[in-house]
Amino acid sequence: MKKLRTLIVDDEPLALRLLKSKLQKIGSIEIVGECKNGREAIEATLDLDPELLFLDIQMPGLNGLDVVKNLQNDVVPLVIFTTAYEQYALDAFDVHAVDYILKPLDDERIQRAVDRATQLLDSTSHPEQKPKILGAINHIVEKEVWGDMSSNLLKEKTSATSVQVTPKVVVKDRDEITILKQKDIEWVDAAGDYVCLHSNGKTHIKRSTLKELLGDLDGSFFKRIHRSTIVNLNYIERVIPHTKGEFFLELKGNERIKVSRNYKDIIKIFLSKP
Amino acid sequence: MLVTLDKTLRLYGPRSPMMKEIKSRIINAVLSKPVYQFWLWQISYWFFVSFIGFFTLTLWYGEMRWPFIFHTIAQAILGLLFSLFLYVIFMRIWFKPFSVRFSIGLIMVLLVALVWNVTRMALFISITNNPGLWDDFGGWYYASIFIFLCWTGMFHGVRYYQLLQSEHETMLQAAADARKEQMQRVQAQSIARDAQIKMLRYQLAPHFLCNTLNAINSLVEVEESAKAQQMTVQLSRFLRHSLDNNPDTKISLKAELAALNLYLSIEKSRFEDRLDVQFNIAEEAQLAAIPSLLLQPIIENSMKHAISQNEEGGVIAISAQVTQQRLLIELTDTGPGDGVPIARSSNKSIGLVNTSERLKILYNESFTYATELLPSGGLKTIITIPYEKIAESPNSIKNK
Repeated sequence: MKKLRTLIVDDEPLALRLLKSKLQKIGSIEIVGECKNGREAIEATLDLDPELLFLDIQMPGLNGLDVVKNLQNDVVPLVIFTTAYEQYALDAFDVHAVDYILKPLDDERIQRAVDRATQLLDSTSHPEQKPKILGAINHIVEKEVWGDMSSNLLKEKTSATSVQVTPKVVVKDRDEITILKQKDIEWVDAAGDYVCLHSNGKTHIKRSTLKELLGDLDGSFFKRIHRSTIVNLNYIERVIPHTKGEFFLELKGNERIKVSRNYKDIIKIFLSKP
Repeated sequence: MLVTLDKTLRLYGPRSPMMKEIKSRIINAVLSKPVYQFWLWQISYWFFVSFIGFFTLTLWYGEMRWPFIFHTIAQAILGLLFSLFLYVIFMRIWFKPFSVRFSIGLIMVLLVALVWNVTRMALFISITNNPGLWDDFGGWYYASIFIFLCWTGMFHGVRYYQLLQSEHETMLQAAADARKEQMQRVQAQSIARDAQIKMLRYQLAPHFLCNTLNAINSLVEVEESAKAQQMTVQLSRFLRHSLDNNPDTKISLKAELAALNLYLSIEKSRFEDRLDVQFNIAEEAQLAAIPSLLLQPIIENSMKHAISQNEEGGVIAISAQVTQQRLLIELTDTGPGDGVPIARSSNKSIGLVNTSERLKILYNESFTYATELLPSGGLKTIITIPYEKIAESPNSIKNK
């Protein structure tokens, strides 16, 4: 039987040890990596390309939800959150069918979560993870109880239909409207009904489809590099070849995003131009 | 003889304590009950009328004989009886419009005065046996009308005075009620706030509790039973301390720090080398009295916003010393690191606001509570309170 390549993330060493020990007893799991914060989790996800991610929510620096926000939709694996007590998050997770297990961990819950993950991966078209997690994040922000985490989360209630002549993107929040200059947007990924605009180390969430957004963006420097990822060519600092004809693009600020095989010609054209 | 009189006067005279007592009782009774007041002014009035009559008529005309004196008194008694009828009438029309009250009142005064006049003249004639007196009817009636008009004036004066009094009392009562109600509201608010604080404590606890149990779970999983046991004991002792200790009581700094140490030991087991704790407590500060659970929220806040937010972890430092009869406590953390650029000063948790309020209640103005955001991103909390030495209670947690 094929084993699930699994990455586990928790900032508490004992919690990580427990999770590892429990998962090792499950035959269908192969632990490919352990991380102790969100930054490491993003790196490891890109490097190791796991199929399943056990992600603690409360972590220093980037928390579990930030990790998903910052990963391009195309590389987000199946995610199971582990959490001790985030009552508001759990409501949102239930509404948006995001998987989670509670600490203290017990065998039964872990087994159930793993079984579900196996089923999803076996089915030919398993649903994308990022849209439902973004849905849950928006749900949490709407409750206005998340405190620190809410500061970076912006959402939009009405759909963006107006086509911009000036190079900008408007992100509407409940009480404020953020205007992002297109030249400041480093990369964009779409997840379901949302697009994530990554700019200056922040992730702005806008309710829009990638197709709608592509119409708005300046095509001369915004290029599609994956099924649901667009990059601003001006921010590419390094191009790193990866396996199976894929590339990594390293952007300013050491952020890495993946280029799929189908779009590698775009990078080749970009590299060939002066 | 004189001595006896003097004694009697002292005992029963108007200035004797006994008489004073009786006098004050009567005055109180009359003032407090409208019925007594009514009879007091009724009798006074009619006594006054007969008194005037005695001087201006009986004495003036030199009729110092018993039948005339009797008539003076009898007509006053009759007047009093008739005025009772008038009283009933006035009370009946009290709430009627002014014009109605005025006209009916005047007619009734004239009528009652007429009846009284006829009665007292008939009485006088029967005493003096002088029927020719009926010729003077007009003069007599003239006086009668004014006597009853005076009575009417007095009735209204007393009545309005009483109304004013009762209104004043109602007002005072209302003010007292309002004050009482406000007191109750303040009390209710303070109870509600206590409950809220408790709820916040219990809300904070689950996160800590679940994570700690998960860590113990982990130690059991990897068969480190000694460590698991130690952590279980630390957890139970810490919980007992925070549940047993009433926030109103004061305990020694030593006992408070011992409890903090339990909490921090547990957190150290969870975060391992990410948490470093430094205590620097002067010997004389050990026995200083501080409100129990005062430092706990501050340390929890540091754990939540600094240590657990920082990939590198950090240091929590606590120092205490006594200078000029004041206890100075400083708590410092090393901040959340670069990853989380949040303004912590604006991020005051309810627990910390509560700390300041508690100090205000306990020490009035003689305390200081200041927080300072360090350039490194860490938070420094400085508390000074008056130094009081405490007799260490036997059931406080011993530092091990």
